[in-house]
Amino acid sequence: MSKKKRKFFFFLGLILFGLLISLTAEYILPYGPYEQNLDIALQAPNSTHLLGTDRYGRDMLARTIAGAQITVCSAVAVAFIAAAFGTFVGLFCGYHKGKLTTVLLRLTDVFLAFPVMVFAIAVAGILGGGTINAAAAIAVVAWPKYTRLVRNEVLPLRREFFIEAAQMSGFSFWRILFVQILPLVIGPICITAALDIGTIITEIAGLSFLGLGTAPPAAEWGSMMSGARNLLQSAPWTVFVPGFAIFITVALFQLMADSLRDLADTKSTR
Amino acid sequence: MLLDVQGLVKTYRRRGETFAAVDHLSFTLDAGELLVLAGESGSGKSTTGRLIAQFSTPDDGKIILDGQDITHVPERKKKELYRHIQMVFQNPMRSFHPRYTLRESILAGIRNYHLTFTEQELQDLLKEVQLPVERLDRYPHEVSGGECQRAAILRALCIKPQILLCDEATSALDVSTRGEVAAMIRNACKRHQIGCLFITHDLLLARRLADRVMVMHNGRAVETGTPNDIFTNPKEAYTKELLASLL
Ligand SMILES: Nc1ncnc2c1ncn2[C@@H]1O[C@H](COP(=O)(O)OP(=O)(O)O)[C@@H](O)[C@H]1O
Ligand SMILES: [Mg+2]
Repeated sequence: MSKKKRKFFFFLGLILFGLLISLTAEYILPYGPYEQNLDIALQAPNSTHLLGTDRYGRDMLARTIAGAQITVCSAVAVAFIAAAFGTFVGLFCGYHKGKLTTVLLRLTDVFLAFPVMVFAIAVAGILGGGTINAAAAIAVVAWPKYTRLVRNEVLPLRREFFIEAAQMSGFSFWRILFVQILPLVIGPICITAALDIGTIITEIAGLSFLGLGTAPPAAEWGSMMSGARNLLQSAPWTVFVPGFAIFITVALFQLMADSLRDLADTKSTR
Repeated sequence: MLLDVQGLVKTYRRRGETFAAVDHLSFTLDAGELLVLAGESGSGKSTTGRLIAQFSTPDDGKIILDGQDITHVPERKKKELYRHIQMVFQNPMRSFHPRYTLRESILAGIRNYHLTFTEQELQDLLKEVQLPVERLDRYPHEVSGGECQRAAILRALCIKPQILLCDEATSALDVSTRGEVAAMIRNACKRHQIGCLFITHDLLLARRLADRVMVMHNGRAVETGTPNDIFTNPKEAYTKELLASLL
């Protein structure tokens, strides 16, 4: 395995390991993320509560680790759905010439112009807050960039002889898109999606912080920070611990995406 | 008469002006006949081939295949048409998908058209295109240009078409293989009674290969005839000029 490959699998492994810990934390840690005990509220980090406790005496370590579930899983899901949908539209618009393509491209431009936070606030205002609505709002704004990316990759391919040869070999429209063209554009899509996850994590946490995403008492980093805002001076760990978790997670995903890009570069130049 | 092209016109816009890349072009092609479209670069040869292959649509004229009008074939009927019309492209590497082996690309066509081949038939076709069977498991960039083009011809022959379009199919090959591949195409078309439209700017090749030659200039057919007529007894001034440039 090359050095670049090792680097990519190292970061991917770290992320998967972290996720595994988060999903099994209940069985590993002595305290649950929702166990309240007002007697031990706002304890600074100590030997029994390694990262301290919050205002309800809940263990910060348990809550922060559990928080990865909602944030990371929904970010990955949002990136996947946005990438899949955007890719589908991009493949179609890159290959098909017609009215439908024109309409879809206009629509893509409209969605591309939406600032994600403003749109999410509007969605929350109309449909209410909550994890699903916040994730949906982010996905709705995230897909058009995949459409742009994929379409730009597909446009020059449309004129390739091997695509015309595939038509003559009896490939249908959809099979040309998915069997002939998709394998050639999947690389950049994966890299963009991997880079996107970090951004989406901050957006999900940001929306929860604003009270538009995951609502308390659910363990979610943004809402944990938001709930502890006025404790910043008296019990700073209640804010810093989830903040640091966001930072580490985003950094890990960026590193993973960067190493994926490096990997793709070596492949294409070989 | 297998293919009948009548008054074909294709115009493009260039710098605000429309010009005819193909200008009222008519010709016919019989089964087992090899018609060479010869002419300088830009004379409209490729455009003609692409119109017949339904990769672009004519502004006027008719294309008739075996009595059926195929001038404007709707998208969903093209597969059926390509059962009868196959094409070999100029750049062999680029006419195969880079991520699939030659065998995968060739078998895909056979599968898509639900054709059945006996092992013997496949062996015969391989022998006919003079391609070592082991090359089929390579990717297009792993074989030589000549081998890749032989595979492309094999892919076309497997569909058992009535018409084979070859657009500068040998022009990208080096001189030593060019003649071999061209002769191989001719033999295959004769053996399978395929009507072949062989597009080339190479007049010497045209002379050696053709049953009939059609000389094109500015989208029009200047002169059509047997290689003997055209090369030893040209009637039109343009043809004479073109031949003079060879000497
Ligand atoms: N898609 C196109 N758009 C505009 N002009 C074109 C297009 N395709 C071909 N042409 C023009 O049509 C003329 C004939 O081209 P072509 O058929 O490729 O000639 P040949 O194959 O004989 O060299 C050329 O002047 C070329 O520039
Ligand atoms: Mg040409």
